[in-house]
Amino acid sequence: MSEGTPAGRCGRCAHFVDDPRELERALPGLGILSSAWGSTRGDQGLCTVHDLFLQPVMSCPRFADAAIRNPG
Amino acid sequence: MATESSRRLKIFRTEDYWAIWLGLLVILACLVAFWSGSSLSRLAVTPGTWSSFDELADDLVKKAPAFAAVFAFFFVTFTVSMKIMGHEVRSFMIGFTVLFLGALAVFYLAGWEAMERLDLGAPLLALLVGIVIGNLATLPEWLKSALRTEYYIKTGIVLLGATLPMTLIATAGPVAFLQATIVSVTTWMTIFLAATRIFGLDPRFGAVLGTGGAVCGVSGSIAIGGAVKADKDHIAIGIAVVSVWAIVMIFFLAFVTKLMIPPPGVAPTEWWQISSGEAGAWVGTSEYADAAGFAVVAEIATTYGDAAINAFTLMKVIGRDIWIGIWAFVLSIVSVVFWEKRSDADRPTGRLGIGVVWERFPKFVLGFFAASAIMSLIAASAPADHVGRAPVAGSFKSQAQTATYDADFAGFVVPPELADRFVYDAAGGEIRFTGEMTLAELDALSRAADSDQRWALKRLQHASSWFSSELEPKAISPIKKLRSWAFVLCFLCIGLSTRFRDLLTFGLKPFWAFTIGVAVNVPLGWFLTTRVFDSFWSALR
Repeated sequence: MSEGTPAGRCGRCAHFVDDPRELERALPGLGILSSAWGSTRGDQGLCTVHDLFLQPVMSCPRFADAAIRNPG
Repeated sequence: MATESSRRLKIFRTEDYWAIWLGLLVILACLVAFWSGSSLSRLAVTPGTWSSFDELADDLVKKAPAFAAVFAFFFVTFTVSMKIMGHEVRSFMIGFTVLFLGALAVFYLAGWEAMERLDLGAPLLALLVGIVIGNLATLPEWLKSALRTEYYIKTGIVLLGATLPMTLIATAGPVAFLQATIVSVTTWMTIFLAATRIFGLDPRFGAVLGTGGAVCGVSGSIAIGGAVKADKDHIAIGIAVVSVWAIVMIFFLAFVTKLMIPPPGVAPTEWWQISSGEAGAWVGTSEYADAAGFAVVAEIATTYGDAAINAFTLMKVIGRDIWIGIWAFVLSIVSVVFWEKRSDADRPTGRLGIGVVWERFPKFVLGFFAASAIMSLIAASAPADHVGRAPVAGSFKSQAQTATYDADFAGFVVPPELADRFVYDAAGGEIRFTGEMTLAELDALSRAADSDQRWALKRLQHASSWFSSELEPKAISPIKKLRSWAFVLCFLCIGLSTRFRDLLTFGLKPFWAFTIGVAVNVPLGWFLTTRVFDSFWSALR
């Protein structure tokens, strides 16, 4: 989860995947000539509800607070 | 508070920043050794050439301690940084050890006389060996964990900064930017229009494909994918199409450019011939990923020197890569205004601020600039009273010329204006020159010289340059050697991680849209490099 993202935004949503390991698994071939650990990917991630690649500052009605879903 | 802490953490969580720390650490170590009167050149070595197994064994035994030192340095620094970034390091340590041994084997294979006859250097060989193994065998997870192509190439690019003077970056930057912008915008528009108008693909998909071809390959596709809120499948297809074309272009561009460049020391005379600088600039406009492009220019450099690497870096990294944030910002606005459907209320919304220009900026480039600035400052501080020395009998070797000479300077007439700077030491068997000898001064000295004396004077001119005779061999050369290791590790990774069976899963529409872009990009890059900006790229060394 993106620590700098305001509440209610994708970066703090339980459906938002921005872990680089999971991203490289979800996007096979990403590591051949690029990386999920690089600046150009930065803190962007995948929305598992809409199957979209997003900036963490986006928002939608399906927001689910990751801090409540995954406390700690 | 959260923002501040995450910003602090990012410095330790991305490969870009670690590439900067590692690159600058190498440069600092080389400089400390240089300033203390020593050099890391004995430790930072690469395998030599051989034609028999005895020669191979001799070279291996002689350099084994140095190889162990290079391995230990990379092993420790990469492992520590991978641990801090959150990787599972036990697998990485085993995988990296095997990868390093693989790189060593590739270096030696490339140094074999038979491979030299085939004109196959370590970069292409690493790629070929990797592709064969990666596509015939199932790689274990521990080896996959060490295949960090981007990390190794970024580290290599930071090290490359130490070999590119800041003045060259400042003078070449605008030319590279202008040419790269023409090619990038044309290529992007071609792929985007082909994707949307001819093949009816979603405009956001077209933007992902277009940026992959026009700006910085897979990294560009990802940066733009997030900016325009692209579908996951579009990103996955974009990665596959760009990767396949990038790998194909490595072999195509390496083969074609090596045919077009005349032998070392010979200037292009035919209309179709190009200099190695032009070759590097062309690859810079027509390759899609940094790592792929460096595979081509590093291969060219094995025979023709660093001009191709320098031109490629200026064109690709400075001309194209660093502008990805601008592309992301502009396309995020275009996406919100034109491409997103108002009817889909459930879809995530939001517009990016100007801050995205910095967020998407490839931070490792800062390390490249820092390395260049550090080395340029040191090069500018050459001592004015440096005394160059050359033996009166010996050999002179440059990229274009090699000669053995035996000169006699008894009775040599020194022009009066240089009399206080030129000394012939008959007892010591050497000639000396105080301060850096200019080409005009070399001409003045050579006017009354015979052939052997001219070679000795050429060697003296080289030795009179503090940069060429001190800084370059003692501090910059070890950096170049370690850069070669980082590059070969990277090229081996590209090969090992490229499994065509897994990549060739995309439909024909995105493939053809991208291919039309390639068909425009490659000739346009050639035309601009060899017909419009040719005088600039030809002069690059």
